Amino acid sequence: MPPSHVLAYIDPLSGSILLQVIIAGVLGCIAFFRRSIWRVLRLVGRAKPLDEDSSN
Amino acid sequence: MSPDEPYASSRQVAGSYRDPSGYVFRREGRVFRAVDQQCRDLLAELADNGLLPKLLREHAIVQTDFVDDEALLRSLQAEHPGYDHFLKHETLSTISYPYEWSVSMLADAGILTLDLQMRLLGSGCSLKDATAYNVQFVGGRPIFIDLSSIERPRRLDLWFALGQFTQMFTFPLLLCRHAGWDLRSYFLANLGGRGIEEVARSFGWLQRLRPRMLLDLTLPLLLHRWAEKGQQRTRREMLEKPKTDTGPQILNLKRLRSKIAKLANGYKPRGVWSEYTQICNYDDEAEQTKKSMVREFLDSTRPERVLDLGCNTGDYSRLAADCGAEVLAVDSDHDAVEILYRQLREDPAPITPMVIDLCNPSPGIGYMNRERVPFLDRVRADCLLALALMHHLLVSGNLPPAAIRDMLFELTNRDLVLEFIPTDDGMFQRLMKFRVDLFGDLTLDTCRNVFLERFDLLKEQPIPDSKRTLLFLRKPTGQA
Repeated sequence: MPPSHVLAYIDPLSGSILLQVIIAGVLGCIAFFRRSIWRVLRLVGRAKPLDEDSSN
Repeated sequence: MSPDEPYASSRQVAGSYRDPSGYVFRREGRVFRAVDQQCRDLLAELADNGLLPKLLREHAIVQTDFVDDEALLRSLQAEHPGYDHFLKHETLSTISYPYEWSVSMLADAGILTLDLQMRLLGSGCSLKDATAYNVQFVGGRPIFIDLSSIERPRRLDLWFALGQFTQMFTFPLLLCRHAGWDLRSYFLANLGGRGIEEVARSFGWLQRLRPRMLLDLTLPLLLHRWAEKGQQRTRREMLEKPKTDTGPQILNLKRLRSKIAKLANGYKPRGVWSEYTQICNYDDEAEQTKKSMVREFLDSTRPERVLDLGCNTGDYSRLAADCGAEVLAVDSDHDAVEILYRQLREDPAPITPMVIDLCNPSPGIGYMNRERVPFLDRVRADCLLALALMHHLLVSGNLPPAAIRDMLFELTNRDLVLEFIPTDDGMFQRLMKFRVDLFGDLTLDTCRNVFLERFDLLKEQPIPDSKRTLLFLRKPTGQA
């Protein structure tokens, strides 16, 4: 990947970049916890055993 | 990119120098874009995977071809050292800028940018900038013109141009809707849109706490202030990690898309002149006769481009479009242009609406005052329609008849249809309500004499059942 495309040639405005990092983080957390909750529920027998893929 | 701009052969367009990966130039009346190897490869890839042809078919991007004619390519390479690849673009007949758009036009340009970004993400690409100047209007629909904005970024979960998008689209729409701003003031004083601190000040802290402001203004503002205090280096490293999950970005873009659509749809046009057609003191019959006179003239002279000055909600622009002309419809009343644009969405026609105050038309702004071309240098037409306009320029604009004549002479290549409104006409009286009468000597004869100093009279037709007269004028040959 050429280095010229890593960062923008315009001013990306720190506030908007950080907000997107937060949105990505929040969505990542939701996805992570959703997967964990299914695992826990399956362990205690409250949910049907499912493929890992279908719980994503 | 209008064909009439005074650029010599193979001359770089003044507004195209910021992006290091290429620039636009004109050569022998055609528009080309020099692109670097990386940009060319990326576009070729998008052409192969079908996205580029699809966008071209949908008229979402400007018609573009790779220059592969050997002889032309060689001469372009010789004229533009450092560049080996070139694109040929369709020449757009009218160039307009965001300070000349209505609220819905800006929103549609923003929605086009967001849709394009979402579709590019599907091919692992992204837009490296999101300025409103990358969008133009053709036949009343937005079209994306800056193909060298497309890049293949490392991170697909973030959009580096989102900040610019916010300044170019979200902030002005929020300000128009909730703080009474207008697009002209927003864009003319700041080419790149206003800074977040300034926008925040316009709202005040109580408004900033409202849910609609949180994700687009309040949180970015807090983060911006926090980042200003922090360490630059750590942030930079964090942003260089490659990530390919487009989910978070798409979620945010979809949210923005519906927000922008709602901001524009919720805008209620309520201008004085946008209701003109309802309050106008013509009876229907006089209006119909006037229409048939104008139609007859347009049918017999067949102008390719018509400029409808003081177009209001565009009745005569539609009439000109029906006669086969490409129409530029301008009015100083934002809300009239907004209504015209909304109608064009429902019922498309080759009409480009613009908000222009003829007493103070858009100046040249940006780099060397040439980056964004002044209105009078950008616009020419074969026929001008100046219907129910003259009394506005005389009374509200305080322009003498000779000054009006000179401006109209500048704007037309050939013809002018001028409606003369006598001082005892109801609409003239309405404007004069609280003014000193400076127009005692204004009669059809004096007006005609002033215009005949520079124009030839083709014909003169009084509008029956009214006090008005239509003058059909033409520039003397050799002065076009």
